[in-house]
Amino acid sequence: MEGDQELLEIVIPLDLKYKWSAGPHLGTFLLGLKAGKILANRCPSCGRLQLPPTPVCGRCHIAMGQEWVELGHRGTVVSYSFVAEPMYDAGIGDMRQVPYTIAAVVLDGGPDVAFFHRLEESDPQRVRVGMRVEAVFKPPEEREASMEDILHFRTVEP
Amino acid sequence: MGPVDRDQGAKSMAQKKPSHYNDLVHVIEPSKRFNVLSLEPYVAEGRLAVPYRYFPGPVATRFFVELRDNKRIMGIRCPECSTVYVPPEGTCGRCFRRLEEWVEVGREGTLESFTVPRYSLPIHPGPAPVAYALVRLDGADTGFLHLLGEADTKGLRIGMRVEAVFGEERVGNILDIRYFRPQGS
Amino acid sequence: MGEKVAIIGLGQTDHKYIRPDIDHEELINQAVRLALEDADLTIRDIDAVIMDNMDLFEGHYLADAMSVDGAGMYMKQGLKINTGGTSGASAVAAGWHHVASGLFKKVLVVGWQKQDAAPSIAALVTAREPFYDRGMAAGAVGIFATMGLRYMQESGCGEEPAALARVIMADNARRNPHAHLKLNLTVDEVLKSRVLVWPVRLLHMSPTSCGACALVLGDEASARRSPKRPVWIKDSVTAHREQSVWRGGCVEPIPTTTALEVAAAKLYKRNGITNPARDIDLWELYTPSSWALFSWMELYSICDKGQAWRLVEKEAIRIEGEIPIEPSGGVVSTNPIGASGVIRVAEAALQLRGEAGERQVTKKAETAVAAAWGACHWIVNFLLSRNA
Repeated sequence: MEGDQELLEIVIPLDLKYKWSAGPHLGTFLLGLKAGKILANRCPSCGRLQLPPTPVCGRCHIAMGQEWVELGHRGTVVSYSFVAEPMYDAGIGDMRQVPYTIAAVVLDGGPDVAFFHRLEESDPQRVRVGMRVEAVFKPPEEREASMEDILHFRTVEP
Repeated sequence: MGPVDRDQGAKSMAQKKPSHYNDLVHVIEPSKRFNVLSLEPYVAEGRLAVPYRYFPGPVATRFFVELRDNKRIMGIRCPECSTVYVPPEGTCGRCFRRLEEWVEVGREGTLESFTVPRYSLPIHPGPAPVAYALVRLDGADTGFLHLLGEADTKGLRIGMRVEAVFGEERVGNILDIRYFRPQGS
Repeated sequence: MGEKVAIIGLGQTDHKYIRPDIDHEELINQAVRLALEDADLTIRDIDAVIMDNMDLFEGHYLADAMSVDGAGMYMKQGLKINTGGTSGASAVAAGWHHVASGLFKKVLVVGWQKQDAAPSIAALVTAREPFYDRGMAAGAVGIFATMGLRYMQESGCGEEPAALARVIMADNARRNPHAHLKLNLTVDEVLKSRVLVWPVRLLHMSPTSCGACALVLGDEASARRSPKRPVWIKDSVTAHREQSVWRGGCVEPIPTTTALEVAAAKLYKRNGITNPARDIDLWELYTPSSWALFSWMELYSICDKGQAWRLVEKEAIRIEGEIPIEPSGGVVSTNPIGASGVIRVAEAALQLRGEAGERQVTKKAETAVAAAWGACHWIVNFLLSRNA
């Protein structure tokens, strides 16, 4: 900008609503959460689990059958992210509450997949790869068939 | 009241320093993440809300500032093909030449085309019927998309003469011109 | 492999955190003009324009339609490409295909991003599955933390080599007039910078930048008429992991193969490269975090597994070193995402022309690998050479 030409800044917020269908596989998973279950599906060919469940095996490219596996609520942390930086969340139209820690947890019964969720522990010094955690579900009447039906994972063994 | 009662929240701000994005978050209404419409099949309503802000650049800035401060409509002329672009651009697409020669165009012009949706959508600037206009202002070589107001939407004709109606309060965006009014109305 | 294709022109803007003085079309126009000038061509000589941009960062759908005039796309054939972080490289690959097919003689490729329009996280989150991921998603830092953690455990390296890697990039960036972050850093300062996700610190991560970069690709006849020394694109390989990574982050707790090693192996096999560290003279890799560098070096077979950190400790990757990596300062210094992939190719081409000024590598440079990586585990590699 030359000289004292002022700086114009034009704010045009975009606020779009979307209607999404989860589809039968993810839908089954979400309803599973409402019922207090963490469900994966298993490929009829390679035997690998998909979490979240999908209609097609990513490796074999064939339709997943109807084999559903209920995973344990306990698992092991394999990696984690501690989020401290204030972060805008376009899905709620507000800044996300920080700090929080998310972790990839290998649940008992599901050795080849990892589940991604928040940890109760918000002090990163007290989080360790290999630590054991357990899903804490909301009371049944508060569940809405969403990932938020699990409040977080609490530390079982530090 | 004119046809524009929803300007989509476009806020034009004259700044000394650009805003930090986190300061712009207040223009968005917070909400829950999902509104579950049905469980089986699972369908939910969600949202994408972003407080985008644009820096219009020197050419568009001059255009908006002239609307705001002087109720003047400015165009820009290509040195090669002589096309006067309104609204002004930085580059003539046909000649790939930088544009620098500013030209004031009239507040009156000719209606090149129009369309009148008679149903309402959230993106429309007002309730139906809304009349969109392509106006070629006197001195311009391009049509300029805007709105028609104070008009009988069933009596519009291509070639009609129209004039810009500016708002009393102007902030430096395209709706500083509230609408174009058919002349003699 | 079809017609021979050369880079016969290039140009990039200076990359900055914020550009309140111009709009995106101006930004694109600047890079396009610089590339045309460098090639001594006019827009009329161009047969097609390939543009790339990561969608939603600026809030534009069909960003090409909005920039037609400034980009020189008026009445021309072309494409708009978005493949995430690899967008720029995918655009160069598409340009290469256009010329290699024999159907187009001169193609303009332009990549850009203006990340001052919104918090980048707002756009990035739309890559995540809405029901499963968006409530949790936090951006790319976690991926690098996992890489770093695992690398430290497996190789026994401490925190210092990653800090040194960052310092070397900063030293390189200060010699690059276009670079965004031109920091003067010490290993100590890097080690003291704020931890984001251990071992990743603030200074290990790339910035968000506004910038554009353009290339002109030409066939053999165009290359012969070019005033500058043509840099030949010998080959390009793209690979990505099959999993829809954006459902649930890391779906495989311990990934067994990476797209990177598959793409690198293919590139080497097709081109008779048996000893990458010896056969390739410089590397414009795409490392958005200093912690990715070691894994990348090993996956590209620049050295044996577990040894990359030692090479960095010996400063072999410096501009004056035997294995110069990212002499431009890399993505960790400059990251206008849509442009970044194009910048890697442009910087490698500058080196092979001998025109990289203060950041020119000391050794004789005849061949280069330029690459782009995307967080969807997508990799695009190019093999460039001074020789046709």
